[in-house]
Amino acid sequence: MAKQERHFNIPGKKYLLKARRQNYACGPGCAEKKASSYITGYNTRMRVRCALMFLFVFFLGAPAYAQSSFVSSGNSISIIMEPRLPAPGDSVRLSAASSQTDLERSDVTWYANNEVIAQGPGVKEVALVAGPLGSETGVFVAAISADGTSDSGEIFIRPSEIDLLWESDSYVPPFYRGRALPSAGTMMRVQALARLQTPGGALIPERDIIYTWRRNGVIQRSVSGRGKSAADLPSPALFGADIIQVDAAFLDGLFEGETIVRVPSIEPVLVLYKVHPLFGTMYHQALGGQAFIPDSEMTFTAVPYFAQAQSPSDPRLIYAWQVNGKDVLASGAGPDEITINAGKSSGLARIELSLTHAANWLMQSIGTWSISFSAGGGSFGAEPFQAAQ
Amino acid sequence: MLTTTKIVRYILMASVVFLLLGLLWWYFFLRSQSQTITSSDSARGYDTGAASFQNAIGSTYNNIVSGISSFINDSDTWGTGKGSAPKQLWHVTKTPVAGMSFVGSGATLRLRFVERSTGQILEADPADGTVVRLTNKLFPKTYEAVFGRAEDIILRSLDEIGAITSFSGTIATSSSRSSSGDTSATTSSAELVGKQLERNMHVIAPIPGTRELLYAIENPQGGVDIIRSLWDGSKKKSLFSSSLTGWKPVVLADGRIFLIQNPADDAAGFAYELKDGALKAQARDVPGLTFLPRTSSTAFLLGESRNGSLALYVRARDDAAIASLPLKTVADKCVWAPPSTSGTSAKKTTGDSGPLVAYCAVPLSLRGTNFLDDWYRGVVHTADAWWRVDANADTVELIPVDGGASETFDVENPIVDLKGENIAFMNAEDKTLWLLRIGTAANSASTTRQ
Repeated sequence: MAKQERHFNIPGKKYLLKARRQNYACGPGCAEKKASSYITGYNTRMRVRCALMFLFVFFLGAPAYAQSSFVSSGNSISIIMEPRLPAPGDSVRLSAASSQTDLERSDVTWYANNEVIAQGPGVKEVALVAGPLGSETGVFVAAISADGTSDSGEIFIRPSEIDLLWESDSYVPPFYRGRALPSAGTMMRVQALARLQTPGGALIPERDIIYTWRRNGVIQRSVSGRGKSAADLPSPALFGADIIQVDAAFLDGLFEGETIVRVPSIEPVLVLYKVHPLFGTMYHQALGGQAFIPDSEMTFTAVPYFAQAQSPSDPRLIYAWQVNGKDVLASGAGPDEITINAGKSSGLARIELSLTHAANWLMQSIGTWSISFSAGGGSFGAEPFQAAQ
Repeated sequence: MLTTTKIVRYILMASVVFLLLGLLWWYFFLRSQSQTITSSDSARGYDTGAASFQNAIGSTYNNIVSGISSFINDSDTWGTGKGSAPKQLWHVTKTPVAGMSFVGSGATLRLRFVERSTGQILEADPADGTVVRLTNKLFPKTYEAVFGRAEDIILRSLDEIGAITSFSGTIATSSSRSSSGDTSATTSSAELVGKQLERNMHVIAPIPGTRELLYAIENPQGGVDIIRSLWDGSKKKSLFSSSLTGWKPVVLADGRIFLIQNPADDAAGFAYELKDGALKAQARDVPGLTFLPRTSSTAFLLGESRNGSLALYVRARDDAAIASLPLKTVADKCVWAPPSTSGTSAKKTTGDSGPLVAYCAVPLSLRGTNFLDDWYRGVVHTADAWWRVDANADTVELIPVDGGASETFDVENPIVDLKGENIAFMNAEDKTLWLLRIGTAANSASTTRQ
């Protein structure tokens, strides 16, 4: 177990701050235990440090009231970090503020891991780059005012990584290689993959992380909590978008990260495919607005991409087919299929499909396709196309 | 006065005449109808002769091909016997295939593939253009075929309620390809034996060099489990569970396993290496992410689909920066040359293990703003050109194709043979099978260098 001491030297006044680090040679299986051990020890040290700081301020500050001037106003500089919870490699801006010390008129020195990174009168801001995952950068700021009083502040940068993945439970056909996208009425599955790593290299296990989920800024209490890295949330409203945010923190908040993502909602997409007797549904050949079928009879299936449904034949889906302006019934294996026979005619069949949902009035998709059949040469009557029964 | 006998005689004669006239009318009627039916069948493409099992590829293949006019293209040599070597760009099949794989190498190199309509397995010889049918077991409407080691194959289809079925089979070695493309020899079909695996396996990836596979299957919580099992589905071992269902597993020859989130245009995508049950990020928060890792190295290709535009990036090593390539395509249209590539197919460009060379099909033009989504849905198709990517030098070269100017194809599922001399791919527009020989001088002739 190695110990490291960090010394912060301030002109005119010397502070000695000790930060002990434990370097683990952690093998498989012991990482979680050692991470907890490290954190527990770290918390203890932090508490001790706070207590000592309190005593330091109490015993030095109290006599200061009795004296005409005191040498230190203590550790009253607060440091604001932006972003609050940086990721590895992020540019971090630190701003110092103090209610007791006029920083504008003070000589301010910034240290990062014992090295001076900025110095000068009134230097209240500094920028640096967050280290890699598992690193810890101690930033210390010290200010000496014109009357000789000093003040200081300290903050630690512990970068974390959180990936926020999402998809929807909306319908996509088998073998579809793309993502199921959210539409109104569907549910959105979100999963956070948090990598909170101690300086010792141990990853904090998911069960020891408290996840706080927010949807459009509102905490989702039912899905938040310890170990709750995944959540099911309602998809955004029609044509809307939701801001999903997750905050992942170790039990005592020493290690924490957050991420945010914008998830838009889309309208379900109706796509028409041929159902070939030999090849099955031709998912690779969507029919465009104008299509030619080199046959006089063909079965088509409509696939409601991203609809609130378990399958195209979901009983909640209501298909309304029209061929050349006439209502026709579905005539295939399910309500999503229609067979058109143009054996006695040739010409254009205008297929219209309106898809609605029995329980989701927001869902409505309409598709129109003009299909030209290679027919049997008969005369083109008033009702050339009919759904085969 | 007519006697009764005469009357009967006249009636009989009249009957005979009427009968003859009726038969004559019936004859012409049937003839007319036959012509109509023949004409109709001809129009529908069913005018092919009776099934014949006397050629190497079997009648089913020929019947299907000749029955669908849009697939007919007689410019190539195939299926009817030993012929001359195919062109550099060979349209191997005119009918949809479900998947393909290279077997053997060098002189024994064959391109094995599965017919989509029948699930039968055929083999094409890139050297002389012959196609041989291996199996005759019928698996109608095979949507996807996954090839494993040697004779292992999985045929995937849909049942009557739309659930995915997966048949895990092995091509029995007792059969022979004795014909070797000789039309006069009768092909003795190999037998495909196996068993049905669990229903609704979302995706299946073979584990190279083993008789194992990796698959994702829905769990009771609504997510998926990533399972490793033997080829027949036994000895399952759960490697990872996810609340999300849309993952694409990739297993490399070096044993590394990657999980890539299913992409969508403009939607942040992530790719991970799965190691010891944990995910190690490879690519994070990339809009429309498509990802192609390379075996025996830390290199990968990364595609991005953002704001209606495609971009391709390459990372040669884990300590190297991700470099942008001047190619607008997706990683799904790319394939890495094998690490042990030798010969003329790849210029010597050393990387972690062998040359870091990839081949990418690049659309000549792109339509629409949601290419990935539309492409996956079969709404848009592209006409592609093949490019060679040198990951170390960050350079790209156009691969000229002899006589391929008139051929258009929308590349998907490209694979490369062990020597890196041939690329096989499916045309996403009609699922037909193509083969591009890159082990020629053409490959080293650069027409464009970026």
